[in-house]
Amino acid sequence: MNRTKSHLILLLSAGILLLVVFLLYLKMGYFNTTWEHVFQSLTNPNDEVSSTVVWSFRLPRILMAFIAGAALSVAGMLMQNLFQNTLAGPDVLGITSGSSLLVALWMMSGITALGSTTDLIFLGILGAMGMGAIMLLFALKLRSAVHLLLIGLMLSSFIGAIIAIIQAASGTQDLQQYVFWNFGSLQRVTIQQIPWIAIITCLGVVLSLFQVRALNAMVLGEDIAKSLGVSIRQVRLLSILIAGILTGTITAFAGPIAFVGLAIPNVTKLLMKTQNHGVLLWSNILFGSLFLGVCDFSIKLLESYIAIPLNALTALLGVPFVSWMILKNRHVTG
Amino acid sequence: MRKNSIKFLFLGFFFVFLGCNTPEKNGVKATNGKSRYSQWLSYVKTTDGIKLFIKDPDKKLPTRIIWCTTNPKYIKASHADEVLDIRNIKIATNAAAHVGMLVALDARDNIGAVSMGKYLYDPTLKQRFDKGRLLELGGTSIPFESLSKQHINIWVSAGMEPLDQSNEERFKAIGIQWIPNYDWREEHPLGKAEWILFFGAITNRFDEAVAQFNAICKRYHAYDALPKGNQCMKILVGNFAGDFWYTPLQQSFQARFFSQVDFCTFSMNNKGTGSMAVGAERIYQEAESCELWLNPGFPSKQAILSAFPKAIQLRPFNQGSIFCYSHDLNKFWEQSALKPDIVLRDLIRIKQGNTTKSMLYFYREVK
Amino acid sequence: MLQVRQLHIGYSGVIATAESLQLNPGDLVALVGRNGSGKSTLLQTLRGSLPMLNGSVRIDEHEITHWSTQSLATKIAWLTAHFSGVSQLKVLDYVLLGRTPYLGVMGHQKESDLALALHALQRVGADHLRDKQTSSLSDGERQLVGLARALAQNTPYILLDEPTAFLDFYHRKQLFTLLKEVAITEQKGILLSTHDLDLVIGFELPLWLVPRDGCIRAQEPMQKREALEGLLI
Repeated sequence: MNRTKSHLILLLSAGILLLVVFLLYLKMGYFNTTWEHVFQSLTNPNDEVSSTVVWSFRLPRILMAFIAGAALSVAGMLMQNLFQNTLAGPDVLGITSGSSLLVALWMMSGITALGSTTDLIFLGILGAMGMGAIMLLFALKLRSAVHLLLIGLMLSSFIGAIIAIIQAASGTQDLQQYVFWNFGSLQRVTIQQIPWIAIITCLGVVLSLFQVRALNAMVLGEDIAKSLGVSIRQVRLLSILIAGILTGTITAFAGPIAFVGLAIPNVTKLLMKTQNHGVLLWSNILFGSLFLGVCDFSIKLLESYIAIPLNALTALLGVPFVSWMILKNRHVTG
Repeated sequence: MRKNSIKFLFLGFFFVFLGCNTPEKNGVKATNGKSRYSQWLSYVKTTDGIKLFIKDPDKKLPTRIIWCTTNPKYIKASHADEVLDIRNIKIATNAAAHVGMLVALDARDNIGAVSMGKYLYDPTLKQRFDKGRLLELGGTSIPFESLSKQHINIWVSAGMEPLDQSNEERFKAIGIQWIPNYDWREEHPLGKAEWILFFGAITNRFDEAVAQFNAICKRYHAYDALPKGNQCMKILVGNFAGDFWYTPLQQSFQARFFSQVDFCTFSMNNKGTGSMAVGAERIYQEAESCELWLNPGFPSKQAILSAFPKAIQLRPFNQGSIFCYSHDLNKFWEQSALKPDIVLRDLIRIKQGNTTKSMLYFYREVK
Repeated sequence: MLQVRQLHIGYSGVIATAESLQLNPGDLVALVGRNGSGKSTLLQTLRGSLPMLNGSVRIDEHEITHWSTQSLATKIAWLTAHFSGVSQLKVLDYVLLGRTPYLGVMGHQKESDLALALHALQRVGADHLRDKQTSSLSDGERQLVGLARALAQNTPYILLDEPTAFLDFYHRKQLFTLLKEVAITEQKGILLSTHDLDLVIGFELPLWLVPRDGCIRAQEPMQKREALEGLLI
């Protein structure tokens, strides 16, 4: 079919671009490296400066950009599907704020149980899952997705208020650590952590794959989806669970990253012109990775001239693009 | 450079000597004050009190000339200048450095409001705060009502709060004089410390303030004259916030100290008074030639790692040493402005490896 | 055969009851009653989306409460007038969603699913709409492709909730004709709720009446509108 062909072309070019960004990212930067350096560092990392730069600084950061972009986009897609609302994203369920809450509490209380880095990550995920669980309870009780969305938004603000109070009551140093974390940064991740993040993200993607049929039907609304044999309860549970895992992991490692989870699923839908979530899932993964990869690459290229925080750039690059996409498609979407 | 400063030292002493002993009889007419290091504050001592001249670094406001006196009626009758009655003043301030200077002058009783109780270092003030005798200004808005309840009559401001017309009128309405304090815009360490004279003037402790400042200058120059070891020792300064590492620029207050001790940072050649944002790769490379890392902003290596795990790749983290003042930030913010000599001494001792706990006042090794 | 016995329906309290009703393949039955009488509640109960308060609903002698959502979806298809289209969803994909109950969890569609969907579109005469966006359809077209989706679902029973609500007279008549045809040729039991008493009488449809006392009962085709109205008041 014609459409399948154009899908393939789009995905293939995204994939090729992804590879190009990946290689250029490893090659270019403040430190001059040759292609030999890059390949030698990848195949046989050692203690030399060039090798450390590629292996410890560039590689984990670009991989994290790809993984975070993919994970947040998939989480956003699931949330937009669940609430049948294009304004939904991973942050609407209070999942991101759940992570923030526990991280804030931990940083300001100064208690360490497992060693600082492990604590941070563990709590980030725990917070996301905790909020996810609360939302799940609501999801089981509430009939309407709009009410669920409302509860999620309110819980986010509620937690934001608690964090503000904790911040006001805590000492300067603890505050500073939280503020640093809250900046959102891809470079905190080390190469040793990447496999774990990748595995968890893959788990989320695989779980999503097993719901494609349900996701497709959900497009028609929960009522019709149910008449098509979809268990609404199961979709809600799984979507929130997966979005919780994905967002919690990324947030714990990289801090809150805004905009990607909201924008990419919308752009993907407009680009692929389909509601088939089998296609949308892979497209979100590729486009999300590519978007965050390009964002981070731009930050790196521009860093000698101007320091742009990641969360500023995602919006800076994203908003004009998404606006243009929406304007271009306004007749189709009706 | 050192020779120059010694010259300054003598000149300075000479001036203060004059200033202290022969109050200008006709200073009444003075339209300009003098200062030794400060760019934005100058002053004249007269028989009827101290005249302060406060310049706006941004040149938006005209220079404020404030006559601090215990005899306001006489001056008001004979001069057109702005008069500050210093017989019974209560100060509100939201800067820790201001609190530190007032404490040093033993003018705690003149403090009526501070920014936040949790940022206080001075134990006496802390106690007063806990007993509810100090007002907390808090965050964003100016609590006019509580200010007037506490009988506060001076708002010493770092110029950060919005001073639009409506706020100005409100200050006036409740009888508060708004006085700017630009110590944080000073570039010379001693220029910042010189603002103790401002607080001396408004709390009627000018002579005491002059004596303290002279002592500070003397100690500062004495430390400065000590041999400091090797020329241009490369160090790493700052830490990451998000994707970027922030390090002070050449003319910033911090960098002045570093150049005084012959520490070199890669930002040494970048002009400016703020800080500079640098990417991770560059920092890693710069760190390769450094053994010392100053001001990471965290009191322990563990805290550094949890904010930035790749710090482990930086050479000073593993093979060198790290020093910071952040084990007691309140102390640093409250006192460092007035103790540039001690900051300098700490840095010299760090450079010389003389770093046992008892040898350092603000700094401590990060472990 | 869809059988209803001693059924009590409602949300928390009983809204309506049905002693005994029966829907056979090949029947086109109209569910009529005033607003708020319990028509939608009955349809919801029959398709298993609202738990019944008491009684039984059986399909081919099996209680529907024992069926899983998915297997029930292979027996009963459901269509509402309130579906207004989805952006980026083409008609053919929409009709293909009717195949959902038969797909694996990953939603892979086989050639046979595509063939069935195309056949369903042809059956309702909406073949020419297959590449149109669902969000740009007219109300009449939307009901046609909706019916195609229900046909693609390949169930013995189809429930329609006021399918003619937004249609003009011409399209209402066209839809009734089509439903009648489909019921007979495809041997489907179709139950539709409607306020269109004239058409119900004109097509001589058998009725399920929901009178004001809430006792739903079956009724032979009526000849006169006045008589039918009388039964509903």
